[in-house]
Amino acid sequence: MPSARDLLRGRPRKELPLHLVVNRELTAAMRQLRVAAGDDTAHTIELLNMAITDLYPQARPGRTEYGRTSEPHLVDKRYVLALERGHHSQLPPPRWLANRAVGDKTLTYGSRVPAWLARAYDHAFGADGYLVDMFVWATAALADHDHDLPRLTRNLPEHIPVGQEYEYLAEPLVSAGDELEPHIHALLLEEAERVRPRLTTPPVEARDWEPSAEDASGNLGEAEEEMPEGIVLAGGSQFVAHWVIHNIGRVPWRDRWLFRVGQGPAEASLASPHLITIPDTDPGGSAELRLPIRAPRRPGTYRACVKMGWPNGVYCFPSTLLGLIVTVIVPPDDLTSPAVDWPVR
Amino acid sequence: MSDRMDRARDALRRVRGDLSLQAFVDLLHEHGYPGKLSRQRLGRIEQGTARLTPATWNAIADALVRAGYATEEVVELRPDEFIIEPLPPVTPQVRRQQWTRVVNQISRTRWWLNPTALLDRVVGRGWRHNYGKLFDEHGINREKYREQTKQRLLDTTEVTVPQGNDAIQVDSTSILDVHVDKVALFVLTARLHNAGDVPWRNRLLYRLGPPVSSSLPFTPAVLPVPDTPPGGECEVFIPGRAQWFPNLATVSYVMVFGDCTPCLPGRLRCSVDTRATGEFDRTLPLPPKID
Repeated sequence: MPSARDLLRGRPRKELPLHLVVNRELTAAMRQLRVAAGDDTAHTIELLNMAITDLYPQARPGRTEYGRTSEPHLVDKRYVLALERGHHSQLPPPRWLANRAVGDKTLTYGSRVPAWLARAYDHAFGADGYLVDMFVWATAALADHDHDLPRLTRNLPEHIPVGQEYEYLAEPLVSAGDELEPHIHALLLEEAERVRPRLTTPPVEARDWEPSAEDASGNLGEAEEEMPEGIVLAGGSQFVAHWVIHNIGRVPWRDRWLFRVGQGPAEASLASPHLITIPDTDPGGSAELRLPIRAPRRPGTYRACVKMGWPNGVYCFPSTLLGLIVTVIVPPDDLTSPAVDWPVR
Repeated sequence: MSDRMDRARDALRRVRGDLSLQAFVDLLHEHGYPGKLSRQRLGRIEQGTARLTPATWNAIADALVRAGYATEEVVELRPDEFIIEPLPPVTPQVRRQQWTRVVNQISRTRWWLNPTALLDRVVGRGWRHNYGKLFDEHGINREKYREQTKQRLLDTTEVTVPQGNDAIQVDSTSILDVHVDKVALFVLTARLHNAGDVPWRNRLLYRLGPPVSSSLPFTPAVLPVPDTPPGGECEVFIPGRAQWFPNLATVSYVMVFGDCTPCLPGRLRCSVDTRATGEFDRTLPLPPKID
């Protein structure tokens, strides 16, 4: 039943769409940034074409011939709107959805986004590298979707060498630069202790590794005072992303892991362990998760995305595309002490 | 681009190794290659007389990974469009160029102060009046803000850094932290005290990071700071729309000259909290009929 306000507005409130293709998140973010720069579509596309020319001076009007890798070109309104809505150069639906009945087919729509266009949007609308970073993990998540069930094709628990759990967990952080800080080192040692028994004792409930509508995870944001979204940190900083997640479904959580989705190169993305354990949690209970992260030295805005999955990489919540996130801003080098608040009088 | 395709074809031949074309095609199909591929077409691809879409190259690479090939062995098969280069560094010149382009057409821009169009689209007409009231209560002269920002960013005269002690304090009566519903509109008030001995002329507040994301509120990327003599105080209003996600977000502004070079160390930190007490931000349920 629509509310009185909706009736007054003359149209019913639309249900929130459940996008099932990860690129819809990427193109939605592109649209959000473009629309933030102006209501006039023609004007924003003009800005976008200026950015394309800045980054790719050889770009000319006209699209790439079918069947060829997309090359930078100037864009028009039709192209941009279709791409943002998931209708341009459509991706096939995720493999895990192919043989299932989905009431509304538009849920499975998603555009293929060329890298050059993601860069141009970022540059045109001042996204500070956020879209470039998002492109990396959206592409990785897309690869995960291209299987019978969304699963990672790499960095599964079976890849962790028994006896070298700490080294495996620490490797992405160590390869990114300096020594680990003592609290990060201690946290990784604790995590290695939790990982070891899971590797040596095979999980017994493999038959239950199927996503279920009875399963649900909730977040109250209790831990966000420590790490609010958009926190400003110096390049190379080491910190701990902390989440408290609640089992608000009817399925006990067993043998679950938190997978990092699409970790880019250490110099241009947040570095973290590829995966950490999630404590077994019964319905009604909660689990605390701490993921050590190192910020890159290159200034920009970065977002890490992690998702819950089973040891074989199947995601527990395949239709939740983002999972848990943390967004960090590494400020430009020319600013002095940008993480220090101005004094209050 | 042709070099890239040559490398992909070489990699394909290398990965196939001693397998016959037919055996290789069978291997791909056994491991989930989704489309039709004949040995004749595979041969033409290897010779460079047939082209594949990026999706098809990726599908071949995925099938090979499933068949047990290492990710590194097939990486050359994946097209360049999935490899992204970092952006050029954001220097003051880049910042100025980015936002001058937007501001040049400022009357048509949403990021600035265009509440009418914004509200009609986001929350409906009922809220427009309230938002207008909010502006009136704070005495915000939108047109003046608009002109000041445009004039400062477009001013091409060289900025001279003032000699002396340039210092700032934030008055404790400032409203910099809000707790609102997600996507709700808000106005923050920063009361800034010129605690140094140089006057502030043609300065701006510049937001660090993107102007909006699903977990960060939407606020203007650049705002004018009223000219303020030493010992004086000014008010800067920061209108915005809260983020879509229920979370705690920080927005940071630094003070810059018209050419986007920094004036002062430190930042103005604001926070927008959309968490609802006792209400879970829950995972989306599986769509109907597919469980």
